[in-house]
Amino acid sequence: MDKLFRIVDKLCHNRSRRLLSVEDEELKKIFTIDQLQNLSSSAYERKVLRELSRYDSDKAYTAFIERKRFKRIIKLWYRIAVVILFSLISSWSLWYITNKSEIKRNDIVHLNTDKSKEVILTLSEGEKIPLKSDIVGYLQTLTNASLNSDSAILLYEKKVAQRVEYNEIHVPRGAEYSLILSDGTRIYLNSDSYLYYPVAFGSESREVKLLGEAYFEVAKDTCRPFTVRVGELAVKVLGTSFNIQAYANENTIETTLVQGMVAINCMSDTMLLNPGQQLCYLRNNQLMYKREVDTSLYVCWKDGKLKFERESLERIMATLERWYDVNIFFHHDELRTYLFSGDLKKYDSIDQHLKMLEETTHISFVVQGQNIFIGYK
Amino acid sequence: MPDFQEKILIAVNEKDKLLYKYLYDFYYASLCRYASRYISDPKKQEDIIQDVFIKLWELKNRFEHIKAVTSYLYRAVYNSCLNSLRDEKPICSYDEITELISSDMTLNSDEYYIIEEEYFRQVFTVIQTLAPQRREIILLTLRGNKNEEIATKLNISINTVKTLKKKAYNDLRAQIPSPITVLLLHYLRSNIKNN
Repeated sequence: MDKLFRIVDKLCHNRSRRLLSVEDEELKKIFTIDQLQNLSSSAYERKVLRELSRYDSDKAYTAFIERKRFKRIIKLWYRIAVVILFSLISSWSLWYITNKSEIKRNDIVHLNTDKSKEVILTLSEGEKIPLKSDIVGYLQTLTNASLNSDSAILLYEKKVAQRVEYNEIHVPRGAEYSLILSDGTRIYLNSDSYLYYPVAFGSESREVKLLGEAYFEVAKDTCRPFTVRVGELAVKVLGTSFNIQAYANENTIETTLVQGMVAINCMSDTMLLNPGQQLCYLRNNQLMYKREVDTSLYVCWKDGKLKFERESLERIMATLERWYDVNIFFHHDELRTYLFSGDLKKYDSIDQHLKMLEETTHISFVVQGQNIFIGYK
Repeated sequence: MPDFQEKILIAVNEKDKLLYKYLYDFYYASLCRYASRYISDPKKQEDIIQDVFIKLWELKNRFEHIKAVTSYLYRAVYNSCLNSLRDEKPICSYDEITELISSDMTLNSDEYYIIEEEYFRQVFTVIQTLAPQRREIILLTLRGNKNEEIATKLNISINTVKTLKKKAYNDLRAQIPSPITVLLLHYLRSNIKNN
């Protein structure tokens, strides 16, 4: 292209000196005689200029500007449309989400107001109190505990006791509860669980007793180790988060460590757990073993989820039994060993979960009141 | 002239709508004529150039020199013409295409076309630098209109046409003291005499 420009420059230069048709050797080499004659003939030049003058560049420029303006208007409308659409979608989804969470909350309220699903607090004198919002003042006078606004958390004041006094809390099937002890330790209790604990801890140790399933977030206190007694086991910690499942009707006690460090005592044996490890204790033959696990599978229940990974139908159903307060019956024993994986939302109704299982397998569920029968289709 | 080249460069690089007018003034006609070598329909020639200008507007690249803009334009028009031919004709014979793409002359024919277009563009663009009314008169003169015809077309008196023409010649001489202008003036005068 540069060469072309140079030739054009040369032509213009030669032309101004009226040399075009004459002796420039380079030009002669480049062009044919016809071409050179064309370029130098004034008749041809007139023809070209006339041709050029026929194209209307003003009109073309106006068309270009019009088109740009049109495009800008389109773009503007496009933006307006996007904004309107976006706000419509977001307001709709906001409405949808709030509506949905209202339903969720209703479910929980429903569970809590059901007489049989009341969380029961047993005081040291043996008095049993159902935990409801109308007992807030009463509770305050009896112990140093308080209920928070939606009565979902029981909170103990920070205090070191002179005299160790015990409370017991029972979370029935179909319910869940959490409490914060006097040292700041937070405990999430799963359905069908008991926790026996002091109203205020002594100055040397912290000790609680558990039957069922609970997730612990232990407040750090190096002077007073925290011990959870579960059956024959003693789980000793300083400040960590871990989950313990120890139901009376199950053979295994599972301790799953999320972070920190715990030591587990069984008779004379001691085993240490690192984060991501789980210790299983088999009650019938008093055996302990460690394994690496995905901890989220074992602690997600406190965040409103139920996760299973290659879990037997028997154990899945045992979890559902406790959470939805239903009774499960297997028609065929081999169904118990079927393995399933999946994420469930805890606050969805059990019907949805059963429907999903039915759709993907050849298993069928027959629901009669609180009883669910499992068989083949 | 360098002044206008600068303006076109800014128009292309900075997407200046007002300065983009110069691009139309200086390139539009020549590029259309260049396209006419490949496309016979005048309407289509103009559409191709318009599209090329719009593409240039949307181009993110910046040009360092006006020569780069010029090269880009010729190449873009050439490609668009070939594309248009290809899309238009369902079956293109091998000979037709080879004839278009190259020729056995000393210079490729499309290269020659560019040279010719660029050469006459240098002359033609001088006219484009005039004030609108004066430019209009010169263009009408070029198309072979007599003073009387121009007067009726522009709705002005013959004397006004004459004075404006004179002023236009003066403008040309004053603004662009290049040898080309001298020749252009010479040509215009001969044109008038012929009429």
